This record gives sequence, C-alpha cells and structure tokens, in this order.
Amino acid sequence: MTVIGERSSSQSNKQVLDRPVVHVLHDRCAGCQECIVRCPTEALSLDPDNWIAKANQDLCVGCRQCQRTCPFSAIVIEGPMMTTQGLVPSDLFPEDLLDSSHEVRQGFASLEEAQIEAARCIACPDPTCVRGCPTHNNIPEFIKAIVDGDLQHGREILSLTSCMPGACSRVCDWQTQCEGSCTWSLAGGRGVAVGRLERFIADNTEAIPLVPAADAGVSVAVVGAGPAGLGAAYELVRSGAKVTVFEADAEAGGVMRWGIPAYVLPNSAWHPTVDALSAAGVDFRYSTKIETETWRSLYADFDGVVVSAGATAPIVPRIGGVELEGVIDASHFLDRGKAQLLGTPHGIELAGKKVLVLGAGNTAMDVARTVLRLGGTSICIDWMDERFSRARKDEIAEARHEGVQVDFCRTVTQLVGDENAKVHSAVICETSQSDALSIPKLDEAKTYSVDVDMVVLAMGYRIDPGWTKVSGDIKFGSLPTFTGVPDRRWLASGVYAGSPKLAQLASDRERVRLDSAFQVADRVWSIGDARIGPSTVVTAMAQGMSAARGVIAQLGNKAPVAPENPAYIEAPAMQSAVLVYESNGGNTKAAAEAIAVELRRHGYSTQVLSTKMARSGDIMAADLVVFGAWVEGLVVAKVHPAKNAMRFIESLPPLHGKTVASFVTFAVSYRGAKDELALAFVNKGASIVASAGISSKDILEGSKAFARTVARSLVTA
Amino acid sequence: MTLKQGSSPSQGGKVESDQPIGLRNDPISVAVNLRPYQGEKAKEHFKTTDPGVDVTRLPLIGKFLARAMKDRKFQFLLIVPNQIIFWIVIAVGIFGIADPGRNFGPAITWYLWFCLVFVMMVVVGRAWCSMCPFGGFGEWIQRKTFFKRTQKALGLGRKVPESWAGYGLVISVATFILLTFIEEYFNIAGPGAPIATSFMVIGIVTTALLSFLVFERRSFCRYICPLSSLIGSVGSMGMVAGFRTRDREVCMSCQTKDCMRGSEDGFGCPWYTWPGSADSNALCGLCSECYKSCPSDNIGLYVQAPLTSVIQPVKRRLDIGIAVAALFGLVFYQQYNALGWYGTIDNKLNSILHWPHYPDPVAYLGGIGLGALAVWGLTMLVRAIGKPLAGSSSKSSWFTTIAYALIPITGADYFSRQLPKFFKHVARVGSAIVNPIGIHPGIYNTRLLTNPSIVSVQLAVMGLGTAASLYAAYRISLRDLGPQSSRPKAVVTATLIMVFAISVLATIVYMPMHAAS
Repeated sequence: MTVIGERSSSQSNKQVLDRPVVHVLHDRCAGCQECIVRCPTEALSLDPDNWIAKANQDLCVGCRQCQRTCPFSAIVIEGPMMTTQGLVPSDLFPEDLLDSSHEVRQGFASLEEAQIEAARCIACPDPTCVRGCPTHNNIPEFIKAIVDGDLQHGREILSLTSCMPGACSRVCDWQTQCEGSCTWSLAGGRGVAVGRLERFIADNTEAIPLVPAADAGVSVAVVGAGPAGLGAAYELVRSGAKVTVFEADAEAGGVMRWGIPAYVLPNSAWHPTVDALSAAGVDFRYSTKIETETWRSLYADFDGVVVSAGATAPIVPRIGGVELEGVIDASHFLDRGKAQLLGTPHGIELAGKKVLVLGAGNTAMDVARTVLRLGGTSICIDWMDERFSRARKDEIAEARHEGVQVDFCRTVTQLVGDENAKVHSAVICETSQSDALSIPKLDEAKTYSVDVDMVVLAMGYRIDPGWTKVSGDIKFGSLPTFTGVPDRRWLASGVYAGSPKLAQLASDRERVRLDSAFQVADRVWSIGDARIGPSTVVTAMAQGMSAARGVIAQLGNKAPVAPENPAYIEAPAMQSAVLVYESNGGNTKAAAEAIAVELRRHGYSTQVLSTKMARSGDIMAADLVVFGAWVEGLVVAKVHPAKNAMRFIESLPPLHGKTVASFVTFAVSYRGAKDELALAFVNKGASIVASAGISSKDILEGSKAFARTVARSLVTA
Repeated sequence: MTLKQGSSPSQGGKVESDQPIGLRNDPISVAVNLRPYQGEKAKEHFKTTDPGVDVTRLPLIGKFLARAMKDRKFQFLLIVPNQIIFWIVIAVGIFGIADPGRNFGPAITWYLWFCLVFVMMVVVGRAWCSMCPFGGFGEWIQRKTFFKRTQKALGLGRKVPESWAGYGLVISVATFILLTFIEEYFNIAGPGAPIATSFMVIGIVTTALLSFLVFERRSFCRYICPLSSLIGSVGSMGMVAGFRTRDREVCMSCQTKDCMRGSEDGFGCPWYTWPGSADSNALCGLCSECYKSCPSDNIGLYVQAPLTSVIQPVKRRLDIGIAVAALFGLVFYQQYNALGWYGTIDNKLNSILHWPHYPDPVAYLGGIGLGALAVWGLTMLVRAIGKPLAGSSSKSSWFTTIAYALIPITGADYFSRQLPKFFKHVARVGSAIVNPIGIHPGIYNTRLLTNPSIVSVQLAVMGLGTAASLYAAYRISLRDLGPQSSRPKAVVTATLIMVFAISVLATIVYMPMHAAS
C-alpha cells in the first residue's frame, strides 16, 4: 500500500508522519463505541477497564470515520491516508466534434483496471456512500463483487435498488453523491470512483431478468415514461402489479431520450429497461396526453395512479425579445439536435452560427456542446457567481475543454431582432453575487452587446401548472423543506461531520424518497420532477421505486409477513401494525406495549416505536397505525395531547386513507384531548377506526380493551 | 432496531426478517453492517457505581419531577432567580453603598452564597452548575434562546484543543488558584470594596461568555470554570448520582445516541457525559438535556448513598487526583495564612521581591505547591510501604486512588473555612436587603455564634470530614490497593494513617485560627 500526498492540515508545523496516528482523548471518551462499530479496519476496540476506546495504530488507515462519528469529538487522527493512487479512466474527446455522437466519458477498459480502483474501497461498516447515493445502491457490496471478479453478482446487487445502472452511472453527479460521500472523500482525499465502477458492471453484464411476482391484484396507471415512471413501473411489475404506462411522446425515456445528448448517455444505456418492461407485460401507450377526460377514466379504471409527468414548462426570462424568431427553449433544441446527430435530419443548420445559451447549468452545457457538434459556436451565460453554481463542475470543465465559452456573472437584459423579427443580438449586463442565497445584482454600467444567430433558453423548468387542473385540484407539488434536527442515524454515520452541505442535500432527497411512497390524494401518487421540480435521473427513479412500494403496501394483497411462524399460517391475511407513542412518565409507552401484545393475539405483527424513533417509512409500511399520547395541561383549565405528539403528526406527509387508531393516557380526565388527537389525524387525511382515553390507573386492562375494539372494528370493516 | 452481530459482508442484498416493518424497504439498513458492540464486561464494570433509586420513578414526586424535567423551561427556571440576583450584585456593587457589609452585592456573595454552594456541593453534587448564572448566561447567548431547542449555535463552535482537553479538570484548578489569588490580593471576599466584587463577577461572566462563543457546548464549565474542579471533586460526596441509564443494554445498542448528539427535544450533553457509561456524578451538570432527548425513555435521575462517587468508581481520574491535592494545598494555605506568623514571612518575602502587599505570589504558589507535593509524597510513602506487586499499576494511579480518599476532608476544610463569615455576618444580608428601603432592623451586628462556638462547629465539621475520609480510605484501599500490594494489610493501615494525619493536621489549625474570617 502506498501513501499518497494527502495530509491533515494540522501536520504542517509538525514532523511529517508516514503513518496515521490515533489519539483518543481519555478525558472525553465515554466508551459509547460509536467509532468502534464503524471502524472499517477493526483498529479500534474497547478498553473495558477504563471503558474508553483504544486503538491498534498498525491497523489504522487514516480514513477518519471515527473522528467524524464521535459524538464528543474525543478521537483525533493525524497523518496520511493509507490508500492507493487507484485508477480513473480519463475523458476522451473526439478530435473532430462535428457530427459526433462519440461518448466522451470513458469506462474502465478491463476488469483488471476496474479492480485496481475497486481495491481502494475499504467496505465501511456504516457506508456513507450508500447514504449519498439517491437510490442507496449497496455500493461496498457491488464493489466487492468487482474485486471478486463476479460481475453478475454485482449486477444483482444493483438491480435491487436501480433499474437503470447504465444510465445512472453516466449522468449522476458523483461528486455530490456517492463519491463525494465516500469516506476517503469526507476525509479530504479522492473518493472511490463509484460511478465508473457501477458503469463497468452495467456495461459488462446482462440485465437481471425482470420476473413479475405473483399477481398482487393491483392495476396501476403510470403517467409519464421518464426515469421516475420507469422506476415505478419496474418495481410495480416486480411486486406483481399490472402496469400501464401512458406517455405523451411517441417513445419512452423522457429526458433520457430527448434531453441528454448521446455523447453523454447513449440510448443503449437505458433502453433495455424499456424493452424488459414491455417483455414483462407492461402496456406502454405512447402519444397519449392526459386531459381532464382521460384523467377521469384513468382514475376510474385503475386501482392506483402514479403521476410522473415531469416538469415540462420551461422558465422564460422576463425580458424583451423572447418572442423573436431564433429564440427556442432547450428541450426543443436538444430533442431535434440529438436526433439530427443520430442521423435524423431536423433542419437545424448551425454551421458557422453563433448560439447564445441562457443558463449555465447541466442542460445549458448539453445545449452548448450539441451546438459545437452541429458546427456552431456557443456562449453560455448565467447570472450567478460560478462559486455558487449548482451545475456539475466536471461538466462545465468538459464544456470549456471542448471550446464552449461559459461566462458567469452575466445576464441578458434585452434580445434585439432585425426587420424580419429574427434575433440578431443580445444586450448583456454584468452582475455580482455575494453569497449563494442572495439574488445577483445588476451592474448597469457594464453593459455590452453581442451578435447572435440563435438564443436557447436553458434556465430550467417548472412543474406544468396545467396538471392540477387536469386532475381536479390534486396537488402534486413538493412538501415544504424539512428543517428539523437531522436524522441521528445520518449524524451517527459521520456524513454530516464530513460535509454538511452534501449531507443536507442527501437527507433532503431521502425524505422526499420516503414521502413519495405516500399518496398525494386517494389512490394517487406523485413522483419525480412532477413532485419536486427539476432534479436528476437517479432521484426520480428512486422516488419511482419508493412510490411503487407504497402502492403495493396500500393496495396490494396482504401476504403473510412471517410465514415461517406456524402460529400465523392459518391467519387469512397477516396485518402489520405500528404503535407510535409519545410518553412522559412511561404510562403511554406501557399502554402501547400492552396494545401490541393484544394485537399480536389477534394476528397482527407489531412494532412499537417512540415518536422520536418512528419515521414516515414505518407509518407507510404498516397496515394499521396506533398512536398514543399523554395528556398535558391542568384539568381545571384545558388539557391537550402532548405538544410533541401533535408536532410529530404535523410532520407526517398526508396520510390519505391510512387506518389509524388513536388513544390518550390520562390521570384525571382527558376532556377534549382524545378528540383533538383523532382530529389531527383526520386533518392529515387518515381514517380513524377507534379512539380512546386510557386511565393511568388501569393501563393494562384499558389497553387490552382498546386493542380488542380496534381489532374487531377492522374485522367487521 | 436490531444489530447484525458478526457482520459478514457477503450477506449484502439480503434483508433480515427481524427488522422493523418500515426498515424492510430501507436499502440503507441493508448496506449497514455495524460491528458488534463490545458490552460483555459492562455489568461487571459498572456494578459498584450503578445507583438503584431513580427519583423519576418514585411515587408522587417522581411524576412531578419527570414532567418538570421533560419541560424545556426546567433549567431556565432554575437559572432565572440566580441570574436576577447576579445582575443585582453587579449593579449594587458598582452603584450602591461603599460599605461592603451594608452593600447587598458583597454581603450576599460572601456571607451566604459561598456557604450555600458548599452545602449544595456536599449534599447534591453539581447542583450549582444546573442553576449557575454564569454558564446559564453564556449558554443562552450561545444557543440564541432562553430555553428552546435551537439548531445553530452562535459563535465559532470550536472544540477545546486536544492538548488542553487532556488535562481535564486541571485547567480549572489553575483558574481557581488564579481567581483566589486575585480575590486575596484585592481583598474581594473580605469583603472589601463592593465594586471589587462586581468587577470580579463581570470578569467571570465575560470570560464565560467569550468561552461560550469560541467553544462548543459547555466547554467553559467543563474545562475553564474556576469552580468546576472543586465542585467536580468535592461534589463526588453528593447524594445525587446524576442522570444515568435505566437499562444499559438499551444504551449500548442505541443507534442514534440522541443524548450525546441531541434530538428535537434536547441538546446533546453539554458536559460531554454519556449516561450510558457515567460512573460518577463528577461530570454530570444536572441540566436534564439527556433526559429530554432520550428516544427510549431510558434515562432516570438517580440518587446514591453519600460518598458513592468517591469510593466506588472503577475508572479513577488523574485530573481529579491532582485537583484534590492542589485544592487541599490551597485551603491548607488559607488556613495557616490566617495565623500571625505567616504575615511576617509574607512581608519579608514581599520586601525582597518588591511585591506591593499580601499575598506574595511566591509564598502563595509555594504554599499551595508544598501542600500538594506533601500529599503526593505521602501517597508515594504508602506505595513504598505497600510494596506493589510486579506489574501492578503506576505511581500516578496509586496517587489518584489515595487522593480520592482525601475528597471528604478537603471538602470539610473548605466548608469550615467559610463558616466564620456565615456565623458572624450572615445577618447583614438581611439588613442590606431592607436598608435601601429605609428599614434599619438593627441586626447589622447580630452574630449567630460566638467565636469559640464557631471554632467548635468548625472542629465538628472537620471531625465529620475526617471520619468520612477514613471510611473512604478504608474502602478504597481495601478494594483497589490491597490486591495490588504484596502487603495488603500494611497498605490499608498506611493509607488510614496518612489520611488521619492529614485530617488531624488540618483540623487542629482551626484552634489557633480563633474563627478568623
């Protein structure tokens, strides 16, 4: 193992170390073992006499996972990271861009090459890369498959969480996802080239055959055949649902087909997924745009509807001249440009022409680079400062390398046309921006004009507002951004300590992924760009797969949860119940546990969680939710369910049709608190099957009786 | 949530059936393969220090306390009264009457507060820390709230550098010695000019505030606060064990550690203490944040028999050992510097060193150092007598172990040293309160006890301290030193004699002191 030149900053004034050194702060280490259970190399263990962590210095590789996970910052690593140089294939730019669809980014040339890079993975017990990956591919496991030379096993691992590894591994922004959250990267080094390794598997293996599960008795309409829709369809088919996909275009693929140029993403990387879906019985209905009438019949004909219609309305700047001839939006340009490069002439003549692209995001880069391939020259301008741009850094670098002029801190104030109302120049004004959140300021004094032959609007897209009308007021849009304490499991993994920005993005994505399993209206799910606005292929696909599991959980046949347990085999349909409590003195917790015992007698599988531990995923997956809270306030004045309980309910996504039973525990009287709690769930759209007040003097019997009421009401229902 | 014991990476992709429902579809938990927790020896390790009585589970008071402590305003309400008094002390000290005995600021601070802090220390532990206006004020600013759970802290949020943190409470001993020197030099606690008390309080609060803005959590309280080492060591006698885990298994396998990292309901422990492994009350600030944030309702407030945290801990802290020796050196210095002959020495040294007046820094530090060194020397003598077995623990470990036995007598000594001011002048607090509104109750010169009676009380307190120290010395040496010695009986006897000698010496000095304030 060789040492590469990455050293911790504190080393500058000290002797240069050739090995990492572990310092455990005896004063502060509490022996909680958060570091020990996460050390990739078993360099840490517990000294049981002093009850603190102790290190075997020889085993430490300097990944600093321990340093990031320690809740009390009681462990410090100094010295280099013991990792190899590895190997990353470099980009290959064609000598002549004109008319080229040649793929620029390269994969590994051979298994041996891939294995050199794969060997850098140290298989962290709490792999932060998996949290960084929007669909949570089991990265250490598929990398191990490469090391073992068993690529097909790697493909199997990938297929659990991704239906398009070939596409994701090409278009994902690894630096802010898997590779950015690799332990080496969080420690300040270069992350393992996860994206390229995934691509190596995808390119060198056959897709895992898509085998539908036993008929779940559910028919689902998926609206839109983009990444989100394909993800949902894939997971639905695999779970035994009957799927029909409606697509407005003549072909499937969405943005992958019309938006992303072939030199970034060849069709061969994703189209096999569409073929596999067709072969598995998915009914693709192309050129079918959903209008109000079709929506109604669709809603009536199918058990569930998954809306993945994308964000298709281009953002148009409020400047003069956008209506001129020669001004078009990016999706139209890319669609026609891509087709032309692939050999279908669309009459775009750009030889020697100058194209101004408004925007410097990933779409803008695609436009600009397509322009070059069609023989033109292109300038991208964006009013943000480059430091705060969210575009992929490598993509901007690639574009510049090919000869695109990318200018930040510029904005167009006016497009000027000639006598034929055709655009011929643009007035550009310089801007300045002090921080990522502030709106750039225009510097009127620095204004100039450039001659252009064409202007492409690539400033982004938004959700088509027409959709809400079509569906009769269903809101498909996103939920408010989450601003609580981060999930402590995520904090524990150290990803926040390594890169708070990346971790925040990743856990926001995760929240939406979990939430997309919930209905937005009765029997309706919303995923992908249609839910959250423009995002990425992998995020959309992950939401699709998550929504599919929500559909099955909500509408599918109930398969026995624990068929190996003989006591339940006779039960006609195993139901799962999650019991969530907000307890103070322990009464509510005791009640929840007693209810769980009784529900198990009635054939339920149960899980008891405090509000602090329960997550939306737990609620989603359960057939029955039993929620309990203690009552606070003075009886003489007014009593309410505990504030924390109400806060928890408030934080849940809409619970359309979820079966909920609620109870309060009280000492003297619960007065209105019982109904207040039930009402909170009703307001969330849940259906309440029973609600009760359980006296603290009679927790056991009261809980049992309540559990029986709940079970009975569900049998009769 | 269950743990995957004996992780084998080849299991990836398989979902274990005992995972909770919501996690079965959770691809992250599939990829997470934590190594098993090493908790086999937990029971044995914590057996002696785990207290049995959880106050929050007691009938009547338990319910009330549980509810109060779950409330985020709990600590705020403890701090607020002290905060008010403390700003009054500053204001009255600066703007009020110049006579320190008639000024509310110095009167309440030196005649009453200092004694009360000691009582709380000995009976409870870090009770004062839970209501301290210095830390409270800094924390309000740092958290940008009086009691809410906020996310982003004000200030730099640095961690105390590794090189300091290694010293633990020793830095606090140094700041205590420094503060005592300043106090003696300016005769603040005499009490001298009221404004001096104000400036001292302002100085402390400024230091605290700056520390809170530079460092994260209660780094100030844990490492810098002058009183921390004293409360941490002497407070070990207290009967409140602090917040501890109810079921250690639950803590060990807890995957979120909200008590350390903070949750929606509570901050992560400001004192860097984990209830799951706390074996002493020395570093529990009784702030109740862990009690609020535990997701498993697995934390209780425990009480213990007096001296438990002195006698029982398996893991003894060298910094507490050093603190005890240095603090004993300091209080013993404060005893003999009240005797006539000391003045002569101090004056002579001052004239040589051109130092303006008492206390001479060389004599001061020398006196403390000699006392501390004497303790170290005696522990080494005990070690020599005990003839440690080959491979047994180090000198510093012997020193630490024996120093713990001196905690009660050191505490008693500090307390006795404060008693004269209380018994002679505490009535002045009453008159200082009512004087400004025109009432002169004539209690200004009322003493609670005569000088000989005060000496008797001091001797009684020291007697109690001696008894407690001897009991601790017996238990500690029997359990921790005996097995390491080739002459177990000799080592117990030697420890007892050493502790007795130190205690008696400190006790008899109170007789010639004649209840000097």
